[in-house]
Amino acid sequence: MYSLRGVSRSWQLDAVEIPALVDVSVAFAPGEATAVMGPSGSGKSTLLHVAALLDPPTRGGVWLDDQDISALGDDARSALRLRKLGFVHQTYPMMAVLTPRENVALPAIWAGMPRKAALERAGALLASVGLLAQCDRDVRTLSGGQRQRVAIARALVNRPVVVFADEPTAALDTTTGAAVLDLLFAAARDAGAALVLATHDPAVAARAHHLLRLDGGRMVPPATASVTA
Amino acid sequence: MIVETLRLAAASLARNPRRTLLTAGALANAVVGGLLFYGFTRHSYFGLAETFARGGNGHVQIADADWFDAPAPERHRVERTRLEAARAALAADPVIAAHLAGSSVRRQVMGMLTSGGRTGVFVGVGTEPDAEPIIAPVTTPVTGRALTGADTAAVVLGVSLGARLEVGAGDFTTALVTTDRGLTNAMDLEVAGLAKSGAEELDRSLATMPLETALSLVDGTTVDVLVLALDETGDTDLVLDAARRVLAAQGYDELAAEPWYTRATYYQAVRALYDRIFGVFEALMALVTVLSLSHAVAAVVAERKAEIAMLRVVGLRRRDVAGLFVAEGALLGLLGAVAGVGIAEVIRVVTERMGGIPMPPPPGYSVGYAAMFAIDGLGYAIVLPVTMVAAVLAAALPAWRATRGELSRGLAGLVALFVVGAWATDAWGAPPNGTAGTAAGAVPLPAGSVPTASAADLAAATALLRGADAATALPAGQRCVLDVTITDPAGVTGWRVARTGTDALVVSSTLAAGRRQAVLQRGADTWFQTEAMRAPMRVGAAQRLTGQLSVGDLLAPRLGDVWDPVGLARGAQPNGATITVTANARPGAGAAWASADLDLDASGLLRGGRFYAPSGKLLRTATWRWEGRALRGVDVLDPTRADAHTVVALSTPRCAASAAAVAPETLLAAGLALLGE
Repeated sequence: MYSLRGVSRSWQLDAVEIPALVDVSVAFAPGEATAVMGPSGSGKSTLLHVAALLDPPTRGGVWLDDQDISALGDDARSALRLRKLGFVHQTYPMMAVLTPRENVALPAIWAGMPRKAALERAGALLASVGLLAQCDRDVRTLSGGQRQRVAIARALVNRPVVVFADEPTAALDTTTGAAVLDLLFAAARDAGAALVLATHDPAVAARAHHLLRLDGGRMVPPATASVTA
Repeated sequence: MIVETLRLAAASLARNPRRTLLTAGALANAVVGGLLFYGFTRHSYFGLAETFARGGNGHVQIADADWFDAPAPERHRVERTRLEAARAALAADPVIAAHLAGSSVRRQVMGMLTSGGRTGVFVGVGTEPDAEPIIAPVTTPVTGRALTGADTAAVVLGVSLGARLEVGAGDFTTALVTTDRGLTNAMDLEVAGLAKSGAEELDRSLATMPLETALSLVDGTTVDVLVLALDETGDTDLVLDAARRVLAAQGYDELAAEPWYTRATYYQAVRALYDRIFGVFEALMALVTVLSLSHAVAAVVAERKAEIAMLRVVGLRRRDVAGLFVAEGALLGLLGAVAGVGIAEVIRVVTERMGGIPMPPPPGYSVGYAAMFAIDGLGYAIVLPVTMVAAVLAAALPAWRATRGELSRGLAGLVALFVVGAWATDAWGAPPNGTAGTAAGAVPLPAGSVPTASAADLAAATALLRGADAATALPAGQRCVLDVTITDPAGVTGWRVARTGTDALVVSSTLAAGRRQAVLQRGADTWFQTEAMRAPMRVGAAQRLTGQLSVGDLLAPRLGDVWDPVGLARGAQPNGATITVTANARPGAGAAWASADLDLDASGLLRGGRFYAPSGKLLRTATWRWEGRALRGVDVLDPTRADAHTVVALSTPRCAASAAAVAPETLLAAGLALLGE
């Protein structure tokens, strides 16, 4: 089980400490989706960054089963991000010199999978997100929606236990955003991964199994509140 | 992973061939410089060695063991018969015989020469004339003739000594010496010719005579040394070992054999000096390579911060990411090394075919020489690794720095990229000039906040914005140059903004560092050039410029048809309005912001604004500072970063007639020059 236990995170601005996340405890179950909602500045992105081991918590810890993985060194946290976690960012950055297939295969190759096998898995994932025809195109020619789907495939290529998505549809139009969300939910479910996504959209949150509301960095109400069947 | 790292590095280098070639060219330049310098020193060593060994000293010298370093070597001379016997024994050895070109027994004689009323000191040497063309081919007489075996009382003088005595070939001079028994002896000698050794000092005292003449002059039977001249200087050590073996085996225990290089003190001094200079030169080359390449890599790293952040987020370790740039540096180094070796080899061959580069005489010499480049394996073994290591170091340092810090900062940077991206494609329509600011006037608003405006209010808001836009636009076909000073925590930056037609040109200078750069937006393309770049770089729509966010903040709020009012409320300004607008960024260009609240005052002047990301996150606030009716500056504040407060001060713009369509390169160059005014 992947969980946050008493996590706090604050920023230091000059002499002032700004709390961004205060005493958040939440668990993400495999195959289930958790939506993180809250107004701007409520700490959604901070929560995802801490949970995805991008930033260290100021207090508390991120636990995978019975290990506090946030206390590990940078190399070990990188390895966990590579093999256990997936991250979909709203700006879907890509390696411009690689094709979509190579972009998706990159984490798998770096995780030690033979190049050929990694490219095959990447092709299968791209096919599952409807980009089979675009597998070997110049990634710069893809639309925003297509690039976001490549990013989703890349996040799933190492079969992570948790996929984090920070407002994955924020830069997409409504139709494309809905399609991308469908893909994200389905792909995470099929992979048996926990899905944690930050969103402003109540409709998106309604599709999640759990809702985590944040305000001023604090949880309101508890994350266990179920919003969907 | 090494293969994958190299594959990615090669692909990254291929994405900008021009820059790759320029950087590799700089490395090749360092390689060429290093190899040619090395080759020059090696050729100089060779020349000095040949001059010494073939200037009468031979490659191997045989003498009494104490003679070589004695302060008074005349006390350690050997009987001529003894040395002749040793010569015969040496010549019989097959190894020596195979490499021996000639040999000569020598005896030094010192004294005075007189001719009429003129006198000169001479340091003479008795030689075997028939062997001289082999032993000392470089001291062949320049006038007169060489000595022959038939000569019994002849001498070849140095040209300077001949001039001092006022004698020439065929004249006679009298030699006055002290004999080996301490008596005084004199002998008339025929001047056979005048020779030039190349060393001015030597030419003032040089007197070469047959060995028999010398021994008669000093009334002695002892000689100084037996010199062996070889076919190849490179065989010296081989023959030296053989000579020592023969001397020991044949019972010549009092004799010793020494190679030329232990006797050539000038050669040793020059070599020590050149080796040291070469070491310093290589160190400087490496330093210049590191500095220039790290500058280029730093620019690349800045461009690819998004990729770096992405790679770290997906799980690559710091050293993996830094390794990509190190691999790029190594590949660049390899490319530069291959090109450098090729260029150096061409120069070497061409120089050789030209007969060398004419050089003036070295200090103490009277004859110049032809410089060539003797590049050997050792040269490659020194220069190429130094260049490669420098290239790798230069790449490693900025790459390692770029992977430092929290990853969320890297992700935040991704948003910043879009700000600049939007500016690049939707540059500010026109900077305001002194007559700007005559907007349509205040919009009558109902009391209280109106989050969602009525159709009529939105139409009024649109008219207000369009009016402001029209008021601030420059007359058609005019170029306006606006001086801008941006103050942010990173320092003070001076900017000039010029616009003509659809072109927007921004030239900037970091005042502290004095570094200038220019950015031109023309149609869908953005061109970028700094002083450090020899050619401008075109930035396509899919690429982003980073590192100069402040100008993007300044230019993003374009007054024009990008505005799409969706909300109207009573404004923060007295009697003013706050209009909510959405960005109408071009497809594929990305969006700096999705919506903004713009505060206009009662007269329609833009007083402030808040810009929001698509997620609704507040990206930045801006306050427009007006003085009278002219915009004097903008304060931009990033609410997520307290240190990102940017103050943009604008000076009175200067407008000039529009230029015709100008090539981007020209416009960028003009922009850079503009800052220099």
